[in-house]
Order: sequence, then structure tokens, then C-alpha cells
Amino acid sequence: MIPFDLAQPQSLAEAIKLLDPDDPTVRPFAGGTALMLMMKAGLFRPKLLVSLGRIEKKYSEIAADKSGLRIGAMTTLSALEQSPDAKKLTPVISRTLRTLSNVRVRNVATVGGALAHGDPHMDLPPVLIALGATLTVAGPRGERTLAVEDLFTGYYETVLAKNELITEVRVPAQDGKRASYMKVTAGSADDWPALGVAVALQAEGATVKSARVVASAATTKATRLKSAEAVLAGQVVDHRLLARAGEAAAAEADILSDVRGSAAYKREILRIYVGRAVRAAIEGRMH
Amino acid sequence: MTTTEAKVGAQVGHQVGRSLPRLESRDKVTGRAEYVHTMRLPGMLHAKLFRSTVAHGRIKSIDTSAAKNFPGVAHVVTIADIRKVIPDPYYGPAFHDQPILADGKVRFVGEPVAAVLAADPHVAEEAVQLITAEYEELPAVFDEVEALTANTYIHDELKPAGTFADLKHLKGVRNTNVALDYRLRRGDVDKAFASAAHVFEHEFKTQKVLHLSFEPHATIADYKDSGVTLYTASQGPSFVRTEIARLLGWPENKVRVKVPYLGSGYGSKLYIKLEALALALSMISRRPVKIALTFEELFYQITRHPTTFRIKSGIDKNGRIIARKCEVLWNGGAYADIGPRVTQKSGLTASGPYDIENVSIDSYALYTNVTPSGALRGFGVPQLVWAYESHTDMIARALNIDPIEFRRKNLLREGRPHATGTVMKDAPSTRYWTSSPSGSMRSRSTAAPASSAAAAASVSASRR
Amino acid sequence: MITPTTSVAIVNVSADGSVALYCGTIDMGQGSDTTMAQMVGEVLNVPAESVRVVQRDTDVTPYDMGTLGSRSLFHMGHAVRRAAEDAREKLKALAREVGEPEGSNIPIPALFVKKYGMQAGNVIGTGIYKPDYIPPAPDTGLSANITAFWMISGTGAEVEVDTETGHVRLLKLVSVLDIGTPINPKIVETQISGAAIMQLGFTMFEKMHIDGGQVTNASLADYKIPGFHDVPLTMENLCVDTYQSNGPFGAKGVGEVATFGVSPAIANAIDDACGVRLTELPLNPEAVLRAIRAKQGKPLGNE
Repeated sequence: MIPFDLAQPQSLAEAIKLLDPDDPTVRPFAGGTALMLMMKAGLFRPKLLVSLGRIEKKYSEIAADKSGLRIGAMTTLSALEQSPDAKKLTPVISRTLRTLSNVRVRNVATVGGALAHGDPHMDLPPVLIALGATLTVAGPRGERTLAVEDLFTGYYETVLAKNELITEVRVPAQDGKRASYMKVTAGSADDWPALGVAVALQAEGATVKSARVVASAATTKATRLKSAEAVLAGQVVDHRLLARAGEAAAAEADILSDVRGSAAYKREILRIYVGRAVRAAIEGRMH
Repeated sequence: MTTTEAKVGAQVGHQVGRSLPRLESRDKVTGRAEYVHTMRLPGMLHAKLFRSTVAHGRIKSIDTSAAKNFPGVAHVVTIADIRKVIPDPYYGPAFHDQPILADGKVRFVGEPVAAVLAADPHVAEEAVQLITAEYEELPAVFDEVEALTANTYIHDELKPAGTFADLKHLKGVRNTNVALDYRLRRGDVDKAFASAAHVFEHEFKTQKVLHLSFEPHATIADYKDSGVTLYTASQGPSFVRTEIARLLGWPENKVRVKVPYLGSGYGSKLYIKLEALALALSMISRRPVKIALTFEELFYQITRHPTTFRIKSGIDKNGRIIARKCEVLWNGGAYADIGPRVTQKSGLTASGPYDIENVSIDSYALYTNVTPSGALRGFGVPQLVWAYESHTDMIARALNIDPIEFRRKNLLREGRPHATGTVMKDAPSTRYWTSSPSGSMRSRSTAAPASSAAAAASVSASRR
Repeated sequence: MITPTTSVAIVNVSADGSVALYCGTIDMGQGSDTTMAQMVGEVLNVPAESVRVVQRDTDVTPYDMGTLGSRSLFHMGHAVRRAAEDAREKLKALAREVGEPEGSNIPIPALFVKKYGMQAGNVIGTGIYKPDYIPPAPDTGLSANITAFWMISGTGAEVEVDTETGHVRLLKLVSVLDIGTPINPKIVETQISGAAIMQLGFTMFEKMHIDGGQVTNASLADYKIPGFHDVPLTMENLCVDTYQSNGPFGAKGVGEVATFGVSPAIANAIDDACGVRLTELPLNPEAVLRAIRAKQGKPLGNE
């Protein structure tokens, strides 16, 4: 690893000032779990890393009210995993985090980092998209809010400018919605997923009122599968409906081949796992 | 401690048979155990390696000028520099086929081509990025089946090390990728196949995998005219000493090899690995030199042999295996390392733990343009058992015989000759093969679509 | 290097009675220092904990062919045993020399004092071991004595196959081994588990992906080894009660033997479960699903 400068600003505003919109060798640094891998592999060689570890504490806090859950972007994944508010309001998030990488990673990796990195293999983005989460982004010209769904533009690509930072994630109150996330690994159990499927449903009994279905890992970015959602909307869940939703998802998704499996295989397991995820959401269990 | 109470004729109780916790465990868990990876010597330089990006090619040029001019760089070394201190810079346990740095040709992606020395490892790493090389790409062979008949040859001629009698006939042989052909002939296989009630033939493959020691390879060489000391993460310091003495033309007593604890090895740290390069770099720089691989570099050091195993069995009407023919191709990668030993020592067990009158085995060590293959926990046997025990099950199923029963009928027992002719003895457990297996391992119905159980048996000769 | 291979060991008894062992076997986590110390302790009647195992240094520790192929406990074990026995006999000779009666229980320090007048001197025992061996005949590959000992094992596997996705869950893995009489049962247990789990990784998913000679997953992020969640729900390690008559204290090497049967046992269990036969490792979910779908006449495409 090549030496680089490390800045440790005391405030968000100061951090944003240190970032350079045009220089890709200057990057913010939160938990560093992804960035360190890239640096070790020689894929990223920073001149300056701007550590966010010392900015205002409020960016590491979790709050809950009637409107839902507010998660500071510097919240570590393990803090979110253990949060009583998250367990109560969005149990799918707590359950997802339990098998996200390992406890050493979760202790330092942050919610903001998991989103800003744009890595399609991350577990949190599909779940947050399914739950309809939004995020607040701060930059030199102030703040803006966008849906997590609109954050990703491609493989490791987001709409964030190089001098913008995610400050907060808001998960709306779920009002009885049921959600699930299924991570499918093709290597060891703790491998990056070959496929992630997140589902959130408004349902009455076995009838789906509305659904959000999101695929990740097999796709270039966490992606809503709207044709599968359309198949499910207003229908009673049975194995034929789930098969149709799976077919629709498999037909719609843009899937990549890599060392974790061919596109043909991943398309096949997407077809299966959409149905399994819907069933798990309805039945209130996780894979 | 009770050492001073030791008495000439006394008894302190049996020491053998105790589940004594490992003696070094406290040092290890408190971070006090010594490893080469964390060791430093005064004045030490760090080496970082520039590696080939092509699988097979002639080196047209190597441009080290920018790296040499990089502030903090002490030396940038290629094979031309190494020849000045070690005139014949080739090493290896079975063949002297591996150059200390690429010599005219590169033979796999990741092969070391140049080394940068600096007091600061980060500086050395940065300077490596400034080296460029031009190659004339040659056709490459990656697959062991292809390598057997290909017109592309990884080495111009074979250079057996002279340590093994069974490799001597290969000296100077050209136009081949076969680094060793081991053959076993017992009985008359063709005749037996002709008389067999059933003949089964299958092909099995294994993939390239890695040892992945928790401590990657690391070596420090400290060369002085009076002698050289190597601190190295090695599973075989005696061999390292012999080979380093040979490269130097020195008596062994001028070569000192020190090995602290190893963060595992699994066969990856056998024979000679980074030691020859560390030696050469210390001779050139006249300072202690350390080479410590990263985890990523392990993929270019040593791996397990991928294999293709064609196995054919003849079965008589009573369900006895009367003939077995084995052809095993071992993908050895670009340098032989200990592959020829794996080919022979494991090859002779290829027909499995069965009592078969007629056996034919052909086992080939093959050069290819990938990372070299060596010994990995089992020394080739797991690849063979994979094939012959899958094959055995397939035969039993095809003949509608219980796979356990089929094995029991054919297993080699105490007092009977193995395929090699060696009579199996001191294998008392084989008597259990006549009794019923204890307990049941059959499948139980579960919520999942399918569930079941099976078994495999193996017998292997100690390879040493 | 040339079979048969050689191991040499030295046992040094100091004048205070403390014992050091010089042997070239590398302790790389397999616990050889501990088991070698136990063998010395057994012969010299001292606690194994008190035996100092000297760090490997070719200026100090004598020749050993290498730590490989499950040879150390057998080959070096014999050399260590012989070195300790040699030291024991020399101590007895020393006792006789200073006038101790046969079977005397004189403390060792007192023995040295009696001989040298003070705490001084050493007793050095040496041991060498090289098994008998006949190399295979060049034309037939046959030999009347190809091995010093046989490595014998069996593996049983119980699996659950998800026939829709190809995922294989290992419910049970049973290793049954003939390893003679263990010197250290706990170490044997962990060697067996470690070997089986390592081979399990090579069986189920580990693979260097190579494209045009380029390794495309050359990092620990993309080349995964088994973690805790990959360990079978039940693992049983069973050692047949045996005594290796030509081994040191009835023992033989155990580092590799539990790897042997893992791959075919799992593949055979998959066949038993869902009727598909895989002939190429690894048995990853895609390979299993492709085989299942081919059997169903609905093969997966090559997208």
C-alpha cells in the first residue's frame, strides 16, 4: 500500500470542504472495509482520505418516531443490528445484518458507506429499496433528499458527486407491511451473495395489495423488478402466482456472469427466490 | 515445572496418550510467538516483485529505468543481475527448471520477472508499478489433457535435478510437456477386461485450489562472504540448506536456515520457494533482504494439481473387480516443483483400496502455463480418491449392489498384496471391513426436496 | 528426498535434569512440538510440559527430510524416541559409573553432581530413523515394500439437496480412521476435523478461476474458504482402536488421512439423494443444478 494523507475533520461541513469534486484520488472514509480492499488490490490509490470518524455525533444516531426510522449515515452496521427501534420497526433490517459479512466488519462498516460505495453485492441497499427508504445528501450547496432506489446508476456508480456525503437514511413507517430478504451464496456461507432478493408487501391474509421486489448482487445494481411487482399486486399468493412472479423477475432482470455463477444460473435462482422471498414475507420468516 | 525432580528410574506417569494442550499456545494467543512475517533485521531491505501479465511469452525487453530512479529505491534486479552472483540460477526439488527470476521467457501469469529493493516496502511497491516489460506472446497450454499432446512446449528440454533415480532418463528430453510418466503393470488387464461380465469407464476432474496458509510465504536472507543465514517460513529447512548450498557452490555448514513457528503450511512451504530469490537479492545488495508475499500473491506461488483421471474397471459375474486401468494426468503448471513425486507416490495408489489381480496405471506429470502445482495435504491422494470412490459407487449402483456391500466384497485386507505387490500388513482395521457397519447412515426424509447419505473408503501408502 | 526418508533427533539432558529436544520437524500448527515432547517425556519419565523443544535452526537442529506427507510423527517420532532412549541408557550408565545400585531412583541433578562435583555436564542422546523401502521397478512400477505404513480411512456423508437451486447442505460428515494409538488424542481430533473441513472447501466451492491464464479471483474476497457456517451440522470423528506395531508407541501420522474420502462421499450422497452424478469438482450449487436440470431434460443455458 502506498502512503497517503489522512484528514480527520471535526464536522461534516469541514469534511465536505476537504473533498474535491474532480479528484478521484480524494475520498471520504467511514468504516473503510470496502475501501481498504480496493486499496490492497491496487484498484484505488488515494492521495487523501477524509476520515468521517470525528464528525458530529448526531450522524451516528438512530431515532424512531411515528414517521419511521431515522438512521445517521455514520451508524455502524452492528449498532443498527442491535438497535431496539430497528428490531421493532424494521425487523427485516436487523435480521439481514445478522448475516452480513462478519461481526468484525459490521462493527466498523457504516450504513452510509454501504450505500455510497455502490457495490451491487451489498445486502442493505435492496432491503432499503424494498422498504421505500430515502436518504439525505449534503454537499457544498446544501442538502437534497432522494429515494435509495434512485441512488444507484450502475456497477459501483451512484448519483453522488465526489464532494457529497450521505448524512441520513429514513425508513418510512411500515404500517403492517411485511418484508423479507434472502441472500443466496454460491461459495462459502459468508461469501458475497450471488443473488439478493428483498421483498416488502402490503397484504391482507394471503392477498397481496401491493409489493416491492428488489434484486441485487446478480444485477449491476440493486434493482426493483416492477414486472414481478405487477404480477403480485392484488393477487392471492399461491404457488402458481409465485411461479409467475419468478418468471417475470427472471425475464426482466439484467444479470451478469462472474466467478459466483453464470447469468443463466443466477437467472434461474432469481426465478425461484422471488417466490421464496414473497412466501417468507407473508409468513414472517427469513431464509 | 518439575524437571529437577526427574529421577533415573522414576515414573511421572504416562506422557503418551495425554490430551496435553499445545505447548506454544500461550505464546501464540498472546501474540508473542515468532514468525518470519513479522521479523525484521537491522539494515534490512524489502523486495517487491514485478510479475508477468502474459501466460507464455518471450521477454523482448524489461524497462526498469523509472523504477531505478524512484526516490528510495536501492536496487532493481532482473535475471541478468542474478547471473552475476549465481551463474546457473535454476532451482527445484525434482527438476532444476525454475529460474530465480524469469529468464528470457515467462511461463505463467504472475511469474516474477523483476524485483525492487528498498528500505521502505511501500517505496518498493510503488516502484514496481513503474516497471514495464514487452513480451512476444507464445501459444499457451492451460489444460492437462491438451498438454499431453500439444505442440506447444513449456520447457525446451527437461532438467531433472538428479536426486531421483526414476527421473534420470528424462534428462535432456525435448519436445514434451511430460515431466514424469509413472507406470504400473500387474497381471494382464486386457485379458481380464475381455473376460469381464461388466466393464465401466468414467472420467473425473478436479480443479485448481490453493493452500491458503494464514501466514503467506516469507523469507529473509542475510548473505555475508563468511556464510548466509536464511530466516524462512519453510516446512523443510534441511532441503533449503542443501539447495542453497548447491546454488552457491558452498559446503552446507556455511548455510544456516532458521525457521520459527509457521502460520500453517499444508505443503505450500516445502522444498524451496522464495529462498533462492532472497539469497540472490541479498548477495546483490549486500544487505539482509526480506520477501513477504501478500495474500493475493499466494495465487502465483504454489497450488494443488488439477487432475483428469480416466478409470476403467472390469467386474466378474460375482461382483468382484478383476481388472482396473487408470490414467491420471496431473496439471503441474509452469514448473515441476514436487509434481513428479506426487505423480509417482500418489499414482501408485490410483487403483484404490481394492484387491484387484490385474491393474494398469499410467500417471503423467504435465507442464502447463499456469501457477505451479505441488503438495497439498494429501499429496495427490484426495484427487485420486475422488475419482476411484465415485467410480466405485457408480459401478455398485449400475449393478444394483449396495455400495457398501460392493466395497466390502472387494476391499484389500491384511495379508493380501496391494496393486504394487506390497503385502498389506500392520493394517489391523481392515478386519472391521468384514463386519457390518455400525449404525445406519441411510437418508431420512426431510422438508428439503432430497436428502441422502453415502460413504467412501480409501487406503493410501505413506508417500515417504 | 529420495525415499526412504531420514529423520535425526537429539535429546540433551542438562545437569539440573532439564531436557531439551532438537528436531527439525516444523510445528506449523499441527502440534508436533507437543507430541514430540510427550514422546521424550514418556521415555525419560519427565512431564512433557518440561521438555524444551528447540526452535529449528540447521546450525543446531539435525537433519530432517521435511514436515510433509504425514511422515513426522512416524519418522521423526521414531528418531525422537530413539534419541530419548539413548539418553536414558546413558543416564543409567552414568548411574552405574558413579556407583548407584541397579534400579536406583537417584535424582538426575544428584547424579551429575556425583559425577562432576557440581552442577555440570550433559547427557546427549541421538536417534536416527529411516524405514525400509524398495523402489518401484522402472518397467512395472511394482515393489515388495512400497510404504512404511498405510493410511486408512473412510468417510460418510449425509446431505440435503435443494433440487430447485442446487444448494447442498451437509447434515453429517463422519470420518472413520485407522491412525494407530494417538500420542495426543486432542491433537488427533483437531487434525481430523481440520483435514475434513479443508477438503470440504475443496469439494464444495473452492476454485481458482482461470481465464486465458489469468486468475480472475486472486483475492480472499473472491476465493472463499469454509467458515463456521459451512461446517456440517454434525461431525463425527471415529478412530478404530488399533496399535501400529511398527510405529512409535503404536502411533502413525494423521495430518492428511481425513481428507481422502470427503469429496466422493459427498458426491455419492448427492447421487443417492437426487440421482445426479457429478464427475468434476467443485460440487457447487450451479454444477448440481445443471446436473439436475439436464437429467430433467430442461438443461440450463450457457448465458
